[in-house]
Amino acid sequence: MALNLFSNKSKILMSAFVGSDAVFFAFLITSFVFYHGSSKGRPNPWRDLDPATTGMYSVALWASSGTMWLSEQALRRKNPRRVRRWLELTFVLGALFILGQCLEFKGLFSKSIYPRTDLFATTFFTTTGFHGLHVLIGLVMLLILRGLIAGGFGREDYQIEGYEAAAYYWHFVDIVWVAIFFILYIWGTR
Amino acid sequence: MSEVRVALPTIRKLEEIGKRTGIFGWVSSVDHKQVGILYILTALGWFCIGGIEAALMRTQLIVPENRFLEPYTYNEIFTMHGTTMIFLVIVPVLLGFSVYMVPLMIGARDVAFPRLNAFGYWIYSFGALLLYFSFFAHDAPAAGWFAYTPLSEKPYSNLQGMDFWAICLVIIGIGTTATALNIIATVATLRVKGMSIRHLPLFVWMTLVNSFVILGAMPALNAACIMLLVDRQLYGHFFNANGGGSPVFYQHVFWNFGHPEVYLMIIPAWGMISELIPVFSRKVIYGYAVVATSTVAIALLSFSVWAHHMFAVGLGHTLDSIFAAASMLIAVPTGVKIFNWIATMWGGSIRFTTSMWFAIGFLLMFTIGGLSGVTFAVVPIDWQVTDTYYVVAHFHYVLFGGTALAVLAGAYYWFPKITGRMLSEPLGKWHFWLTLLGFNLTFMVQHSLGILGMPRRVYTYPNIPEWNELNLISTIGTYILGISVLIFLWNIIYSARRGKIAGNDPWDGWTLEWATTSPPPVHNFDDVPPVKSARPLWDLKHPEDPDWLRKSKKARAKKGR
Amino acid sequence: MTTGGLILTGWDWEPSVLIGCGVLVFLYWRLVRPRRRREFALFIAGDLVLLLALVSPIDSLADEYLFSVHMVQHLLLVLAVPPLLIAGLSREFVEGLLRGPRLARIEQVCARPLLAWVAAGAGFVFWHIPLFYNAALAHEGVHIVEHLTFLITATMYWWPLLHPMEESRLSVGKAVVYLFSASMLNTVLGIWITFAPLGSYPAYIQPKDTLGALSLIRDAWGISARTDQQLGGLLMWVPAGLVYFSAIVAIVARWQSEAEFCEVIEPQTGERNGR
Repeated sequence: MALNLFSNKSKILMSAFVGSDAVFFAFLITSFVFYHGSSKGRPNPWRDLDPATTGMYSVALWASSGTMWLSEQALRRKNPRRVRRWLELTFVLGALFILGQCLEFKGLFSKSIYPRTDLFATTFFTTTGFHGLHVLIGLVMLLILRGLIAGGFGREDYQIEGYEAAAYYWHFVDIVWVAIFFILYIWGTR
Repeated sequence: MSEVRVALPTIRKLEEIGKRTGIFGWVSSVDHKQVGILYILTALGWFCIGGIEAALMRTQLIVPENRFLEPYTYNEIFTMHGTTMIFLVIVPVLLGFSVYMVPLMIGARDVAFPRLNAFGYWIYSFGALLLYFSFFAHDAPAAGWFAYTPLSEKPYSNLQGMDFWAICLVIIGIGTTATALNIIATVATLRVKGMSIRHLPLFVWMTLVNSFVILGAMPALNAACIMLLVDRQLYGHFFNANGGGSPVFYQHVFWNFGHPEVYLMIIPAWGMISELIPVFSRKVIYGYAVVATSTVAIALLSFSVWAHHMFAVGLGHTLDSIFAAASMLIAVPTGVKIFNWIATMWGGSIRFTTSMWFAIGFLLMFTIGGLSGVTFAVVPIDWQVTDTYYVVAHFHYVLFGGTALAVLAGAYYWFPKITGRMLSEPLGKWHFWLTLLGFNLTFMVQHSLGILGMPRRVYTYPNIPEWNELNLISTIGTYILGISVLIFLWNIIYSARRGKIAGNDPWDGWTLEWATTSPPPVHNFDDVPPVKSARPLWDLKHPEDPDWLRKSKKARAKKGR
Repeated sequence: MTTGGLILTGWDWEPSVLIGCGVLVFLYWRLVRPRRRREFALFIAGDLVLLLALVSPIDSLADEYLFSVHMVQHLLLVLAVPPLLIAGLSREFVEGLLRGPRLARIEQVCARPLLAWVAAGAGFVFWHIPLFYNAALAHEGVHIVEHLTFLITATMYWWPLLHPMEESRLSVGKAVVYLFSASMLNTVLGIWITFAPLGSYPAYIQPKDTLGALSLIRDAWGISARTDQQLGGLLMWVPAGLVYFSAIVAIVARWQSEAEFCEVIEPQTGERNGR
């Protein structure tokens, strides 16, 4: 199975959308990098971030890209039971990540760090928050896919392509998190 | 054969949809033609409202020290005028023509994602209504259409106007992005057999390029609006200098969108001109490949010159010089296009229909706007005239003299296809000449006003001799323009009911939309003619001298060399 | 020192560079046996640009005085030299070369667009991270490795675009994405350098001034350390971006004008290609 991006209208649509969305994230990340260091108020505001804990949740998100891929493989091989299993696992991993992000935000709030606290917090919350929103939308999408699969979706070729197009979005969200994690949590807290 | 069998149920389904009538039929429609008409009519409606705002502004400026409008109301009106004309009129009307014409021109039954298409329209429509709802919420946006920080920040615009502005622009941006995605998918997958991507009608090609520009530009606007909203609603510090933020960063992000925006408001208009100038000159477009390629060059360059909007900010000489040079470069592919159109007309047997008159008007006015644009690339001139009426004159020559005239040319050209009836030619001629007169009266003098030093966005001005006369002339021009718009509206209403029956192909056109009935049936085509070149209908009508044969002769000649 | 004096005396006839360029031309002459004048001229031009970038005053200025000139050097090595050298290769030579299975295998791997893109992008970004950049300035050996990285990865990058066997080149759509994404990477790096704080590349703030040209640069040319870094970033941002854009436009233009001479479609009787 070759990775053929441009064979199907859904895939074209999703690749183009993902490209456009990447530009959006590029601006948010740029704002973080551009303002890193010019934040006024707390000294070394990045001390409050915890790359290790977030890293653990990140692994869950990245793993979910793998499980999603496995479910695509299963769909190609016409094995609905496996499709369902990998899809559900993907959902659980994605939800785990969101849970982790909620806990992280809660921890920051409890130290009274809000977007209004300082510039670092503003850029941090905006960038990670919008990524979280994307994961949430992705979770809704996974639920829809699960419902479709339950209804017998995925037998026709074009449906498989559509499923894979939807998966592009999920993979994209994971890749964006690679960039965000390494720039915000690793480079940003050095 | 198998293709036909698959298509039959689709046709039935489409016809069932076509039977729905009345308001419900329009609201629930996913037919690209109905969505396209909705787009165009909605944009026309907002155009009238934006025009009324323009008339109010010019009335306020008709004499010095005028007290016709409150100062703050004036600010609201110029902000809403700009926002309306750009986001609610020009972009949607071009998208409307695109979703209507692109499937027809490539021989498809509909766009690739009909429901997404309807979604794109309705979200634009609701975004627009929400934006205007701000008037009823007692605070319309008043910080100018590009909403520079810190003016648009909470301390300086403390009511909810700018929140409306930012939220609505994100919403409308979503609709625009959805439609652009749809056009890309449509052109990529639904071309009729034989139409290679190099045989696309130029309007389709430019719409395609434009869709990519939209995808690259819109995220920047969304990012700017989101950051502004975070600052305003969550008390963030993105653009707050006290917290370490930088108002100039807003300008960078905004113009990252803003400059490509300038081009995405003109590229489809160029496409229209490239379609109808050849048809009315009875000549094939001069240098198809050059026109197509220069569009790509412009689209690319538009992403790397945004800082020329910020020369007056104080970016430093180094930055200014590099961006001045890059900005001047854009004039090259644009100039190439103008020469291509002129060369197409050269030696042709031109039919001076209203549509062609508008196209000729476009060529003249857009050239003026383009040339005054190049003057801004010269940094010292830019410093002198930034934020004066010279800028206002410049971009109205590009957007009204350019895009609006081209869209009107397109409207006269395609109205017969859309409604089945011709727009009245005598009324059209009145419309054209009054538009040209009113437009030039309004904006030509604004060049002088700007050079004399009148800043833009001022609510009134002191009694200075030259300023008075020039402002008076400008306002009179606006009223003439208003009359011309009324004539156009009357022409539409009258011709849609009583106009001459157009027939399938009133202009003896060459692209596929003229191969079907006017208006087209729900499924667009019963039978698409064979496509072997960029002018399939020419080939069909002139079997003795088809384009593809000429090409193949050329190819043989080249191979034999 | 005057500008003229600098141009005359600023040459650094580094033997390794001279030998390298000489060997390149020698090998070209012996192995490729150029028959077409255009190819020969392009290859020699590429070789001369390489020589110019590495021994002329560009190199002296880049090593000690001006970050911006160093960027000019890097951009020449990445955007000018490899395309010219590749364009100088003849189709026959490459065909012969690829008949060898081992070489064909290497070419197959190295010319994978994704790999080439990532290698070139990563190489370029890596060496502009201040830590590594400054290390290259301090140690000549690292500097040579840096320049070799640029040349090799950039050759990998341009190979799928300018492959002497035209049928092996990237298709137009892919080439546009390939070039545009690379230009975006360049742009981001350029923007970052333009707006980065001044301390990132400390060697240029207080140059060692072995040539005695510092007063010329700071006073007569009027280039302060701030302007210098900005200019360097801007060169990478705008002119380098324009190189990529020109490549895109050239590819699209070529493809579009080919349509004028496209394959003859013979009319087939009775065929109606409706959908």
